[in-house]
Amino acid sequence: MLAGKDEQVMEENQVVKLAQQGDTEAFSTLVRNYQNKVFGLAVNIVHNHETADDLAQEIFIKAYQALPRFRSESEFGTWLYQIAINHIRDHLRKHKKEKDALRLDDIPEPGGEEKELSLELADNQEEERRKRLITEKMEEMPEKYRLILSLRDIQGLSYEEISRILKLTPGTVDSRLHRARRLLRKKLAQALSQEGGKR
Amino acid sequence: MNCRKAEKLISKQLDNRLEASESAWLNAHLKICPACARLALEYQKLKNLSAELRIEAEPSPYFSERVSARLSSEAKLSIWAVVEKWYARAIPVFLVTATLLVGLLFLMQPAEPELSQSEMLLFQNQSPLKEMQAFFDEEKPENRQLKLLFAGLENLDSYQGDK
Repeated sequence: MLAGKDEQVMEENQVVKLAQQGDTEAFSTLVRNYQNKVFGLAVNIVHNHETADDLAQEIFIKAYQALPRFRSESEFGTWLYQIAINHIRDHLRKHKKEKDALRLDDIPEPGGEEKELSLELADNQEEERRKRLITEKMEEMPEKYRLILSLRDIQGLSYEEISRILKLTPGTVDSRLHRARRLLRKKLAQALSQEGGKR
Repeated sequence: MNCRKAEKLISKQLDNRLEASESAWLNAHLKICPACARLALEYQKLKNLSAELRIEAEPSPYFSERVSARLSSEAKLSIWAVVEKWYARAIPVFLVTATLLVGLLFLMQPAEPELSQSEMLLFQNQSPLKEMQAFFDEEKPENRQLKLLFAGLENLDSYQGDK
């Protein structure tokens, strides 16, 4: 007897086959099944509802066009996520805000002369402000760090999922994630120390 | 060096990916290094805040219908794209074919027949009798006869050469 997940995968594979044969209703079923996930992925990276909605539509159009090339070697969801990530990555490259991005080499090691920073949160209002600051600083980061932080720390995808979607080894996921967190922390530290200086 | 290693391990610890030996080493280091202990706390807070950033939203209504509409309009556009594509390909193919045909016609043209001297003169719109007329215009009869004789010999040579 097949487990629930296997049954779902088999059922989905049948829908995918029908969509590959040109059944538009089957493709609409796939869109309905994945629209929240794809939209969620986009909105958590671009932080704009309209842009994310547009991106999600474009992702499904790309998926439809690429459907004849889909082989059932991977799950449809993983394949769709790969298309989504590539499309969002292209979007970020076109609209990059990396002018002030820091080079990782410039980040001093902990225990150096770095000014002490504290992410202590006094109250809820302060917490909201910090969240906005994190979002803002993440948007300034190079897309490869921004993507991996969003997938792991914001959307909570597993290492295995991230490895498959980004086509990276778990070791590379580890090191990229570490660099991304380090860069984000450094940017926040700078912003907070500047704010502290103004006060 | 130890603090650098500790920072990497702190990041791995956030994802519960530390091996037992790494975890033991990190805990020991954090006990003796207040800077790294503070760093570990900051990373944890940053991760917690990041998790709270998750936006739980759905796309605007009629999403799948809008995708279907865009797909059908893109399909219409793609028909034109195919036509344009073939049209764009047809132009160079036509040019190459036309060049080849012109080349073939040029090569297959029959060779022009060799023209005689009189025909050449006629072709150049000159009278072939003009040269002969010059002989008869000669005043002295001996000169006239000599010229006629040499012209006759030249014609005989060319006639024998042709044979």
